[in-house]
Amino acid sequence: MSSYVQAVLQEAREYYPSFLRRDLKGELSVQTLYLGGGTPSLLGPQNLQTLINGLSYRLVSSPSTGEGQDEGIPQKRAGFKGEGLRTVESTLEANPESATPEFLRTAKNLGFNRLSFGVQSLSDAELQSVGRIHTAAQAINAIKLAQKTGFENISADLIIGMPGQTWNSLQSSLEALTGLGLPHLSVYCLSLETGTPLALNPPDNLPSDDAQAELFAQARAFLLDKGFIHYEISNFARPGFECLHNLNYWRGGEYLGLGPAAASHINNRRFKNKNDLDAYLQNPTGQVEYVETLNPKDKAAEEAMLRLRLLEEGLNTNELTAKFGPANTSEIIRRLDMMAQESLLLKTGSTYRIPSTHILTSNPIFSRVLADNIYPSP
Amino acid sequence: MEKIRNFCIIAHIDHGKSTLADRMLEMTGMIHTTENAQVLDSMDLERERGITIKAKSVRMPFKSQDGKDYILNLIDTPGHVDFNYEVSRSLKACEGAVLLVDASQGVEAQTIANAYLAIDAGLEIIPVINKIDLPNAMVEECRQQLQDSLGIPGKSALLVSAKDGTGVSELFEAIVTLVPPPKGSASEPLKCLIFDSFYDTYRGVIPHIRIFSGSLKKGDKIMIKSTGQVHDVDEVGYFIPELKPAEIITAGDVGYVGAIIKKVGSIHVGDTIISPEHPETEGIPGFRHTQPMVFCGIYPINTNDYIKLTAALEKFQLNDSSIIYEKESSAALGWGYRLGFMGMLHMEITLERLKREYGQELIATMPSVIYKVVLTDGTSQMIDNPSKFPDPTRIDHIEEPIITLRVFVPTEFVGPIMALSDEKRAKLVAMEHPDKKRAMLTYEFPLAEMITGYYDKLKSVSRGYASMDYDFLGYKAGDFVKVDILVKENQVDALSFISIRESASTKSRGLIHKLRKLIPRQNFEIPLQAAIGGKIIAREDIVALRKDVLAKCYGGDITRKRKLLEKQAEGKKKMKMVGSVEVPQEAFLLLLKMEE
Repeated sequence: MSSYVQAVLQEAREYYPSFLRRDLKGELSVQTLYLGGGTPSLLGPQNLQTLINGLSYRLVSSPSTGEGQDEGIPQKRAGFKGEGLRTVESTLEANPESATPEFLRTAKNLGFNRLSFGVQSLSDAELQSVGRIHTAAQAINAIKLAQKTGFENISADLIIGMPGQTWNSLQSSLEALTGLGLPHLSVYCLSLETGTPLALNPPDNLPSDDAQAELFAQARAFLLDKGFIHYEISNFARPGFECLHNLNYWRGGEYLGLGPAAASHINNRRFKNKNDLDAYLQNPTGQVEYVETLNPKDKAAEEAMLRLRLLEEGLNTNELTAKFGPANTSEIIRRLDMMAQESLLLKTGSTYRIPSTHILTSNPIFSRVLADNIYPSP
Repeated sequence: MEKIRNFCIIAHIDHGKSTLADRMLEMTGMIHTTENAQVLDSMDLERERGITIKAKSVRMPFKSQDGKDYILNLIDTPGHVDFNYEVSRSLKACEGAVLLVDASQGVEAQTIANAYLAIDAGLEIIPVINKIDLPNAMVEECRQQLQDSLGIPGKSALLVSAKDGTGVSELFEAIVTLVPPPKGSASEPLKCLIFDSFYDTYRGVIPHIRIFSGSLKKGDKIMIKSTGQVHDVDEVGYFIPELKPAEIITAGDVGYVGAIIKKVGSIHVGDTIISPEHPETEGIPGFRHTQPMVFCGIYPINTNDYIKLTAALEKFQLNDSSIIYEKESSAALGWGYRLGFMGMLHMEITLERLKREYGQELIATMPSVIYKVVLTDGTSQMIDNPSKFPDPTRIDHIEEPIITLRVFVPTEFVGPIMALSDEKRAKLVAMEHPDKKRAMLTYEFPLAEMITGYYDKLKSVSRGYASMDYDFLGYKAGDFVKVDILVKENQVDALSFISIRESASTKSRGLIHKLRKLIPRQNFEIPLQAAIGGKIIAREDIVALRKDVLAKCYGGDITRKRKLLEKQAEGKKKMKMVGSVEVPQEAFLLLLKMEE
């Protein structure tokens, strides 16, 4: 595990200098930090400390220039204080069974201000059926422990479409999590990834797509009623608790990913590391699987597609045009208007949003945003 | 000319025609080995389907036992029921025909049909029983069948195994002895029959010709009889089987003429080539005009490819003049063409070849026959497209094409075949027993029923033993209605079909049900309806799609997301829009498969 941490730090040294920015006060900062993808809580307290201290030290010691950037991010949750690195939001992903008191304390002391728990369900039968090793009680305890340690901004993942799931079981999961005062929930529909045991041998009681859609609609209504905002297709938050790190993805922002299979978006290029841990440990900086540079038209379409995922904020085409130029957005706007006419999008001024009726059938809409020549001009 | 023999091989499908041709080429040294290779079937598709579609010819030198050298021109002929016209063209270029019968199968429907065509064309018939090496060869039965069914003396039949070469030398001798040499004089004015053609990118249209009189060499001028167009000959030659230039070709020869005929559509098979110095030379008579029996619409998937499709069809027609096409437009599918074919197999093969050889993705609409619509004012219209039917109030009555269908079948399958044919509105006119084991059923049969899966079913109920052949008989009145299909209130012209009134509801329900399974669920509910006039006779609804979403973010891997969506979009390119509904192209082929 410690060799993995060293590998990540080596990769960080390679990429950090070009990714760092100075904020308005001239301090080195990243807006958000997200430690996730798999189960970072498996690192244990010591490795976590090494990793964060290593990142922060390198950050401070690496000279860099760059324009400050301020997108009006709420400052009230500013908090990460590791060795000179300033962030607004630093999230740590954790699985309930590995979130020990010591680990949580270490995270808190290092300056993490947000936790995301892979809860998935609070029904033991459902958890078992997808091979999860934690129980509902463990999940609840982990959340309570985190709150006791001083974390307020806690998110939990919930899965719609667990084998045997009913609205009753889903509702009690939701009741319990909202009852614990969580300000953020990610609600995903179960997808069977090719090659996984579940996909190879799907249980009989797997809810159908239609049943999943029904459960999702009920969960959404429940959460809206509790005061949550459905701010992104899969994400619900109390006002002010939206995940800034994820918002950055959907706003077409830049980010650096470290580790095997990590994706990055820097200087209009998207690139991704190979998903190969052994190779990564051998050579952490030589793992780029592909680099993708889209032309401005495709880039604009990509950002339009991403921003439409933000159900409340929506896509403002004036901003899109300001960023990419009218030559690169006029066709996209034509497609958007056509879909607005077909009631597939809601249009308010120059802002387009996915209507609540089409949240779960948004793929066909995104496809039309992206694709050319499918629907030639009449 | 005394040393030339022009002949063809005629047979039922799969009776070994191409294998025999290969053996002959091999034995005359034209090719060295024929392991698995059927040289005359140059199209991949032909080999895959085991049938020869296009007539081709080859010139073989042969030294007879009489010590003299002969030139044998083998003209290959197509072997399927749909291609009678092509067979007839090829026969016209010959003086003799080898009638090939599979010793294990015996005389079959096409054996008889082709034999009559050859007899009518005045050809010398050489009966040959092939595949005598097979353990289940029934040589004596075959002799008897030739005698009984065709009046050909069975005793005179040669015994051959094209596979191992047995009897092929004797066959060569028989051809030399029995087939008369061509008549006509090299000194008379030029007269050639075009019996095939192909298109060469550099040299234009190359007609395959049989010279009946006169001669041709480089530098000559030729005139196309039907159009009066004159061309300069830049090359003449023979097929060996590839093109081999020659100084001169003369009366009696079979060969090709290159004249840089660039204009696609200026050469029609069946036409006569004459000399412009003798414009009065008469055209060669007796060629049946191509009469397409089955029609369907073809449309480019991408509307922008229409021009490409046009060019492809123009070229295609050169290589298969039995295809006719004309422009049509469909509200659902945009601009396309309506194609006429000799039959169902012809249609399937043509569409397949269009896609392969020209790289065209196509939507083919369901096939239709040509209906005769008699109007109340006494006039009549021939309608090959259901969507073009006149307003019902103007129609006095509708007539459909009827064929004479002959089915050859072992007696044990007569029951199932009769049951199958009854379902298809067939009228039995005769049942004969050419021999003890087999029956020949003759039906008056609606062609429309033939093109919706009859042939496949015939094969399946007879476990492959039935063979068939047909001729056009005439038109017959019936109680027909036009059924329209509506997708979300929009009529899909390309899905309209004609049905006999009493089965319209059943057919419509079947079609609507299949459509429901084919059209993917979309963001809204889609009612599917079938209607006669304004009256709905069948309906099913496709419920709205409820879930098609990419949820999880996978650590900002946007590229993956985008690619998934683009893949979806790619799939949509294969769809056609009907109003706001995406309809997959399969839907337009529905009726084809409806019977299954």
